[in-house]
Amino acid sequence: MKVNQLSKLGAVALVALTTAFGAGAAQAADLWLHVTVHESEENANVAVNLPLTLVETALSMIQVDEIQSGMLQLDDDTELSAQQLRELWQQLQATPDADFVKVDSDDETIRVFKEGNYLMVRGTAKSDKGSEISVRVPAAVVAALLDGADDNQLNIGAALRALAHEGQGELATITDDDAHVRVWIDDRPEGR
Amino acid sequence: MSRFIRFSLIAAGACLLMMVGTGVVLAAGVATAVATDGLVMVSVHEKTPDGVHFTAPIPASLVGLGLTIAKNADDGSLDEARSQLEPVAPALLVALDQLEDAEDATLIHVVDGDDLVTVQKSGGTLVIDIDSDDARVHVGVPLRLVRQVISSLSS
Repeated sequence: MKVNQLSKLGAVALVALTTAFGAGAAQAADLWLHVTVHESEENANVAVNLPLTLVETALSMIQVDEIQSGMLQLDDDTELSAQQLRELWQQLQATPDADFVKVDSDDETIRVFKEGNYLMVRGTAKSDKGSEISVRVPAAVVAALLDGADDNQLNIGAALRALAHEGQGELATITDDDAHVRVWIDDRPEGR
Repeated sequence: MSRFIRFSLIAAGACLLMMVGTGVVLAAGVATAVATDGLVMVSVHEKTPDGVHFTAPIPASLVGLGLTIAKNADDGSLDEARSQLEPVAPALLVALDQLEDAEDATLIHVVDGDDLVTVQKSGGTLVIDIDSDDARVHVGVPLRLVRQVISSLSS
């Protein structure tokens, strides 16, 4: 009897898992990456709407010195190597929600913090009224980005795949006195 | 009626029949090509008094034919394109699949003052429109043709 119940439970769990993975795959295929840039002074607007899967494929085609096969090679003289970032991120992941960096100067305030499953960055320029930056990156995406094979590589391809798995959401907005940039993911071909 | 006139009439009739026959066959061929492979639409309108104005619907099959002729000529003119294309061709073909599967959308929309550039995916066609101070350009390329060109060049 117990074995029978366990089998049923196992079957239900298997169906649930399969459905979840199936739904995830379908969702990833239907997601669109949107980037909009509005420059009021120059009367310039740019809107880019691309299927996320296409972005990932396009990335694999980029073969320049810094980016090969979806991997970004960091300069050797960067202040923090990818390996150091990896170690730092592992420590941060284990901590509860908290501010990691907080800068409050005469010119700007910058805050880097963890909120649930997201790494957040908020910045405001005091001298340049209205200038703000807001970045919201899922923790899984940061982890994937730092999952480079080499000590000093960032895995952009893996980060994009993780982004697709995470689904819809705002990624970044940058506003200053004459420009507004927004980056987000949703399931609509054209941005809202 | 003299023998010469009769012979001329028979020859003219035969020629006419051949021309009409060939025309029908060609027309049918082009119609089939358009129906199966689509058209590359190129339209250019220069905004100057003596500017160029033309609209050219080109059967995609003609582009394929041109490519085949260029490949057969083997004068090395395609070597550079081929060497650049070869490493990325598999990924490009995957990207084309993904684009074809995606919903119709405006992929890129750029407005800079009075200049406008849009890249749209409409059905199986990639449509590029450029409207600037001096010209208006419209290009429509069937994705299937892009695939054919990539496959042909990289093979």
